[in-house]
Amino acid sequence: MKFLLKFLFVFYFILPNCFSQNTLVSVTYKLSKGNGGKQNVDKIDEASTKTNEVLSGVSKNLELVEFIMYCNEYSSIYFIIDKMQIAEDFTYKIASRLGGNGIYYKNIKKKIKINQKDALGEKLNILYDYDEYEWKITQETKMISGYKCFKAVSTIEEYDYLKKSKIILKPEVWFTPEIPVPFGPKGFDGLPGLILEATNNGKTFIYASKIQFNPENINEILTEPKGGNDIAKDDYLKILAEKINE
Amino acid sequence: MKNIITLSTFLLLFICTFTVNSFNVNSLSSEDLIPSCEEICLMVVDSFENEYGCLDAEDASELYQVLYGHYCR
Repeated sequence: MKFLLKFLFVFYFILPNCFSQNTLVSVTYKLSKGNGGKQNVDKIDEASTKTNEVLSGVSKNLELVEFIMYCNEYSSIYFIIDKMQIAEDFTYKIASRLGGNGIYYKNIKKKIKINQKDALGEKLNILYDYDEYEWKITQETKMISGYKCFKAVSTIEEYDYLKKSKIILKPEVWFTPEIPVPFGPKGFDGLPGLILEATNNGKTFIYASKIQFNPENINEILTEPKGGNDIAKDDYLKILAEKINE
Repeated sequence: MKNIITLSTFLLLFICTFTVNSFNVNSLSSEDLIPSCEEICLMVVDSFENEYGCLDAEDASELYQVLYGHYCR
Protein backbone atom coordinates (compact mmCIF):
# COMPACT_ATOMS: atom_id res chain seq x y z
CA MET A 1 0.00 0.00 0.00
CA LYS A 2 2.83 2.37 0.94
CA PHE A 3 4.54 1.58 -2.35
CA LEU A 4 1.34 2.32 -4.26
CA LEU A 5 0.95 5.67 -2.50
CA LYS A 6 4.58 6.54 -3.27
CA PHE A 7 4.05 5.60 -6.90
CA LEU A 8 0.91 7.74 -7.14
CA PHE A 9 2.71 10.67 -5.50
CA VAL A 10 5.56 10.45 -7.98
CA PHE A 11 3.20 9.98 -10.92
CA TYR A 12 0.86 12.87 -10.11
CA PHE A 13 3.16 15.45 -8.57
CA ILE A 14 6.80 14.95 -9.39
CA LEU A 15 6.77 13.77 -13.00
CA PRO A 16 4.52 16.54 -14.35
CA ASN A 17 6.69 19.12 -12.58
CA CYS A 18 9.82 17.64 -14.11
CA PHE A 19 8.24 17.92 -17.55
CA SER A 20 7.14 21.52 -17.14
CA GLN A 21 10.56 22.44 -15.70
CA ASN A 22 12.22 21.11 -18.84
CA THR A 23 10.10 23.29 -21.08
CA LEU A 24 10.99 26.55 -19.33
CA VAL A 25 14.33 27.36 -20.86
CA SER A 26 16.69 30.25 -21.42
CA VAL A 27 19.44 29.91 -23.98
CA THR A 28 22.37 32.25 -24.47
CA TYR A 29 23.56 32.47 -28.07
CA LYS A 30 26.84 33.77 -29.44
CA LEU A 31 28.15 34.44 -32.95
CA SER A 32 31.02 32.86 -34.84
CA LYS A 33 32.38 33.11 -38.34
CA GLY A 34 33.49 30.28 -40.61
CA ASN A 35 36.62 30.39 -42.73
CA GLY A 36 37.13 31.85 -46.18
CA GLY A 37 36.13 34.93 -48.08
CA LYS A 38 38.87 37.18 -46.75
CA GLN A 39 38.67 40.51 -48.51
CA ASN A 40 41.65 42.04 -50.26
CA VAL A 41 41.31 45.65 -49.17
CA ASP A 42 44.90 46.87 -49.43
CA LYS A 43 43.97 49.71 -51.77
CA ILE A 44 43.93 53.19 -50.29
CA ASP A 45 40.72 54.78 -51.45
CA GLU A 46 37.64 55.91 -49.59
CA ALA A 47 35.64 52.71 -50.19
CA SER A 48 38.50 50.48 -49.05
CA THR A 49 39.13 52.59 -45.97
CA LYS A 50 35.50 52.35 -44.93
CA THR A 51 35.38 48.61 -45.76
CA ASN A 52 38.48 48.03 -43.61
CA GLU A 53 36.98 50.06 -40.77
CA VAL A 54 33.73 48.06 -40.86
CA LEU A 55 35.25 44.60 -41.33
CA SER A 56 37.97 44.94 -38.70
CA GLY A 57 35.53 46.51 -36.22
CA VAL A 58 32.93 43.78 -36.74
CA SER A 59 35.58 41.08 -36.44
CA LYS A 60 36.75 42.58 -33.13
CA ASN A 61 33.22 42.88 -31.74
CA LEU A 62 31.75 39.62 -33.02
CA GLU A 63 32.69 37.55 -29.96
CA LEU A 64 31.32 40.19 -27.58
CA VAL A 65 27.79 39.98 -28.97
CA GLU A 66 25.39 37.80 -26.99
CA PHE A 67 21.70 37.10 -27.36
CA ILE A 68 19.27 35.37 -25.05
CA MET A 69 16.10 33.44 -25.77
CA TYR A 70 13.47 32.59 -23.19
CA CYS A 71 10.85 30.04 -24.09
CA ASN A 72 8.24 27.63 -22.86
CA GLU A 73 6.39 25.04 -24.91
CA TYR A 74 4.25 27.58 -26.79
CA SER A 75 6.06 30.94 -26.91
CA SER A 76 9.55 32.39 -27.20
CA ILE A 77 11.26 35.76 -26.97
CA TYR A 78 14.78 36.48 -28.28
CA PHE A 79 16.82 39.66 -27.95
CA ILE A 80 20.36 40.99 -27.55
CA ILE A 81 21.94 41.09 -24.08
CA ASP A 82 22.45 44.77 -23.40
CA LYS A 83 26.09 45.79 -23.04
CA MET A 84 25.97 49.45 -22.17
CA GLN A 85 29.70 50.06 -22.41
CA ILE A 86 29.96 49.11 -26.08
CA ALA A 87 26.37 49.36 -27.30
CA GLU A 88 26.97 52.70 -29.04
CA ASP A 89 30.03 51.50 -30.95
CA PHE A 90 29.18 51.67 -34.65
CA THR A 91 30.83 48.38 -35.61
CA TYR A 92 29.38 46.60 -32.55
CA LYS A 93 25.93 47.61 -33.80
CA ILE A 94 26.72 46.09 -37.21
CA ALA A 95 28.19 42.92 -35.67
CA SER A 96 25.11 42.47 -33.49
CA ARG A 97 22.84 42.52 -36.54
CA LEU A 98 24.33 39.21 -37.61
CA GLY A 99 22.44 37.71 -34.68
CA GLY A 100 19.28 39.74 -35.16
CA ASN A 101 17.87 43.21 -34.73
CA GLY A 102 15.31 43.99 -32.03
CA ILE A 103 12.99 41.57 -30.24
CA TYR A 104 11.78 38.36 -31.88
CA TYR A 105 8.57 36.95 -30.41
CA LYS A 106 6.60 33.90 -31.44
CA ASN A 107 3.42 32.52 -29.92
CA ILE A 108 2.00 29.22 -31.13
CA LYS A 109 -1.38 29.68 -29.42
CA LYS A 110 -1.89 33.12 -31.00
CA LYS A 111 -0.19 32.02 -34.24
CA ILE A 112 1.97 35.15 -34.41
CA LYS A 113 5.61 35.76 -35.24
CA ILE A 114 6.88 39.31 -34.92
CA ASN A 115 10.12 41.23 -34.83
CA GLN A 116 9.83 44.49 -32.92
CA LYS A 117 12.52 47.03 -33.74
CA ASP A 118 13.27 50.71 -34.09
CA ALA A 119 13.24 51.35 -37.82
CA LEU A 120 12.24 54.12 -40.23
CA GLY A 121 12.14 56.52 -37.30
CA GLU A 122 9.57 54.63 -35.24
CA LYS A 123 8.95 51.43 -33.30
CA LEU A 124 7.67 48.78 -35.72
CA ASN A 125 6.33 45.27 -35.32
CA ILE A 126 7.41 43.42 -38.45
CA LEU A 127 4.90 40.61 -39.02
CA TYR A 128 6.52 37.46 -40.39
CA ASP A 129 4.86 34.43 -41.94
CA TYR A 130 3.94 32.20 -39.01
CA ASP A 131 5.40 29.17 -40.81
CA GLU A 132 8.35 30.96 -42.36
CA TYR A 133 10.51 27.92 -42.98
CA GLU A 134 9.81 24.62 -44.71
CA TRP A 135 12.39 22.39 -43.08
CA LYS A 136 13.80 19.15 -44.38
CA ILE A 137 15.15 17.11 -41.47
CA THR A 138 18.23 15.11 -42.42
CA GLN A 139 19.80 12.00 -40.86
CA GLU A 140 22.98 13.93 -39.97
CA THR A 141 23.57 14.23 -36.24
CA LYS A 142 26.13 15.78 -33.93
CA MET A 143 26.44 16.45 -30.21
CA ILE A 144 26.14 20.06 -29.05
CA SER A 145 26.50 20.83 -25.32
CA GLY A 146 25.74 17.19 -24.53
CA TYR A 147 22.54 17.06 -26.61
CA LYS A 148 22.09 14.92 -29.72
CA CYS A 149 21.19 17.33 -32.52
CA PHE A 150 19.74 16.70 -35.97
CA LYS A 151 20.49 18.86 -38.98
CA ALA A 152 17.60 20.51 -40.84
CA VAL A 153 17.84 22.54 -44.04
CA SER A 154 15.54 24.91 -45.87
CA THR A 155 15.50 27.20 -48.89
CA ILE A 156 14.32 30.80 -48.89
CA GLU A 157 13.79 32.73 -52.10
CA GLU A 158 13.13 36.44 -51.88
CA TYR A 159 13.53 39.66 -53.81
CA ASP A 160 16.40 41.82 -52.59
CA TYR A 161 15.44 45.44 -53.21
CA LEU A 162 18.99 46.61 -52.51
CA LYS A 163 20.56 44.37 -55.15
CA LYS A 164 17.46 44.57 -57.35
CA SER A 165 17.50 40.82 -57.91
CA LYS A 166 16.13 37.60 -56.50
CA ILE A 167 18.32 35.91 -53.87
CA ILE A 168 18.28 32.34 -52.61
CA LEU A 169 19.36 31.51 -49.08
CA LYS A 170 19.86 28.04 -47.67
CA PRO A 171 19.40 28.19 -43.89
CA GLU A 172 20.84 25.27 -41.96
CA VAL A 173 20.11 24.53 -38.31
CA TRP A 174 20.89 21.89 -35.68
CA PHE A 175 18.07 21.12 -33.25
CA THR A 176 17.63 18.71 -30.37
CA PRO A 177 14.38 16.79 -29.74
CA GLU A 178 15.70 16.24 -26.20
CA ILE A 179 14.49 19.78 -25.41
CA PRO A 180 11.04 19.69 -27.04
CA VAL A 181 10.38 23.37 -27.75
CA PRO A 182 9.98 24.48 -31.39
CA PHE A 183 12.08 27.65 -31.14
CA GLY A 184 15.51 29.01 -31.93
CA PRO A 185 17.52 32.20 -32.42
CA LYS A 186 16.69 35.08 -34.80
CA GLY A 187 13.35 33.66 -35.89
CA PHE A 188 14.69 30.24 -36.85
CA ASP A 189 11.94 27.94 -35.58
CA GLY A 190 9.30 25.38 -36.42
CA LEU A 191 11.20 22.18 -35.63
CA PRO A 192 10.43 19.47 -33.07
CA GLY A 193 13.18 20.61 -30.71
CA LEU A 194 15.28 23.54 -29.55
CA ILE A 195 17.67 24.95 -32.18
CA LEU A 196 21.20 25.09 -30.78
CA GLU A 197 23.04 26.22 -33.90
CA ALA A 198 21.88 28.14 -36.97
CA THR A 199 23.26 29.75 -40.10
CA ASN A 200 21.62 31.52 -43.00
CA ASN A 201 24.56 31.29 -45.34
CA GLY A 202 27.17 28.81 -44.06
CA LYS A 203 29.58 31.59 -43.09
CA THR A 204 28.20 33.17 -39.92
CA PHE A 205 26.84 30.94 -37.16
CA ILE A 206 24.62 31.58 -34.16
CA TYR A 207 25.34 28.96 -31.52
CA ALA A 208 24.07 28.17 -28.03
CA SER A 209 26.72 28.86 -25.39
CA LYS A 210 24.58 28.26 -22.27
CA ILE A 211 21.31 26.49 -21.59
CA GLN A 212 19.45 27.05 -18.34
CA PHE A 213 16.25 25.39 -17.18
CA ASN A 214 13.70 27.22 -15.06
CA PRO A 215 15.38 30.65 -15.20
CA GLU A 216 14.14 33.29 -12.78
CA ASN A 217 11.35 35.67 -13.79
CA ILE A 218 10.74 33.86 -17.07
CA ASN A 219 6.99 34.45 -16.95
CA GLU A 220 7.49 38.21 -16.69
CA ILE A 221 10.00 38.25 -19.54
CA LEU A 222 8.10 35.92 -21.84
CA THR A 223 5.37 38.34 -22.85
CA GLU A 224 4.39 39.86 -26.18
CA PRO A 225 6.32 43.11 -26.86
CA LYS A 226 4.12 46.13 -26.24
CA GLY A 227 3.49 49.13 -28.49
CA GLY A 228 4.75 49.70 -32.01
CA ASN A 229 2.95 49.82 -35.33
CA ASP A 230 2.28 46.57 -37.18
CA ILE A 231 3.62 46.15 -40.71
CA ALA A 232 3.91 43.08 -42.94
CA LYS A 233 7.50 42.08 -43.77
CA ASP A 234 7.05 42.63 -47.52
CA ASP A 235 5.63 46.12 -47.00
CA TYR A 236 8.51 46.93 -44.66
CA LEU A 237 11.04 45.81 -47.29
CA LYS A 238 9.32 47.94 -49.95
CA ILE A 239 9.42 51.04 -47.73
CA LEU A 240 13.11 50.38 -46.96
CA ALA A 241 13.75 50.14 -50.70
CA GLU A 242 11.96 53.45 -51.32
CA LYS A 243 14.11 55.10 -48.64
CA ILE A 244 17.25 53.71 -50.24
CA ASN A 245 16.28 54.94 -53.69
CA GLU A 246 15.25 58.43 -52.51
CA MET B 1 32.81 72.71 -106.32
CA LYS B 2 34.97 69.69 -105.43
CA ASN B 3 37.10 71.87 -103.19
CA ILE B 4 34.04 73.17 -101.37
CA ILE B 5 32.77 69.61 -100.75
CA THR B 6 36.20 68.47 -99.55
CA LEU B 7 36.51 71.47 -97.26
CA SER B 8 33.00 70.95 -95.87
CA THR B 9 33.69 67.26 -95.25
CA PHE B 10 36.95 68.13 -93.52
CA LEU B 11 35.25 70.74 -91.35
CA LEU B 12 32.45 68.32 -90.46
CA LEU B 13 34.94 65.61 -89.50
CA PHE B 14 36.92 68.11 -87.43
CA ILE B 15 33.81 69.26 -85.56
CA CYS B 16 32.71 65.63 -84.92
CA THR B 17 36.16 64.62 -83.67
CA PHE B 18 36.37 67.67 -81.42
CA THR B 19 32.90 67.00 -79.98
CA VAL B 20 33.61 63.31 -79.31
CA ASN B 21 36.96 64.13 -77.67
CA SER B 22 35.36 66.78 -75.49
CA PHE B 23 32.70 64.29 -74.42
CA ASN B 24 35.31 61.64 -73.55
CA VAL B 25 37.36 64.08 -71.56
CA ASN B 26 34.27 65.14 -69.61
CA SER B 27 33.14 61.55 -68.99
CA LEU B 28 36.56 60.65 -67.60
CA SER B 29 36.85 63.62 -65.32
CA SER B 30 38.18 62.88 -61.86
CA GLU B 31 34.84 63.80 -60.26
CA ASP B 32 33.05 61.04 -62.14
CA LEU B 33 35.65 58.44 -61.17
CA ILE B 34 35.09 59.00 -57.45
CA PRO B 35 32.14 56.86 -56.30
CA SER B 36 29.34 58.59 -54.46
CA CYS B 37 28.78 57.96 -50.76
CA GLU B 38 25.78 55.75 -51.63
CA GLU B 39 27.95 53.68 -53.98
CA ILE B 40 30.62 53.35 -51.29
CA CYS B 41 27.99 52.06 -48.85
CA LEU B 42 26.89 49.47 -51.43
CA MET B 43 30.54 48.41 -51.86
CA VAL B 44 30.90 48.01 -48.09
CA VAL B 45 27.72 45.87 -48.01
CA ASP B 46 29.20 43.70 -50.80
CA SER B 47 32.48 43.28 -48.92
CA PHE B 48 30.60 42.53 -45.72
CA GLU B 49 28.60 39.82 -47.45
CA ASN B 50 31.76 38.39 -48.94
CA GLU B 51 33.24 38.14 -45.45
CA TYR B 52 30.18 37.15 -43.40
CA GLY B 53 27.99 35.46 -45.99
CA CYS B 54 24.99 36.51 -48.01
CA LEU B 55 22.48 38.51 -45.97
CA ASP B 56 18.74 38.22 -46.41
CA ALA B 57 16.95 41.12 -48.07
CA GLU B 58 15.94 42.67 -44.75
CA ASP B 59 19.40 42.50 -43.18
CA ALA B 60 21.12 43.81 -46.33
CA SER B 61 18.80 46.82 -46.59
CA GLU B 62 19.12 47.59 -42.89
CA LEU B 63 22.91 47.31 -43.02
CA TYR B 64 22.93 49.76 -45.94
CA GLN B 65 20.75 52.14 -43.90
CA VAL B 66 23.14 51.95 -40.93
CA LEU B 67 26.16 52.60 -43.16
CA TYR B 68 24.41 55.43 -44.97
CA GLY B 69 23.40 57.00 -41.67
CA HIS B 70 26.96 56.77 -40.36
CA TYR B 71 28.94 57.81 -43.43
CA CYS B 72 26.66 59.89 -45.61
CA ARG B 73 24.57 62.06 -43.27
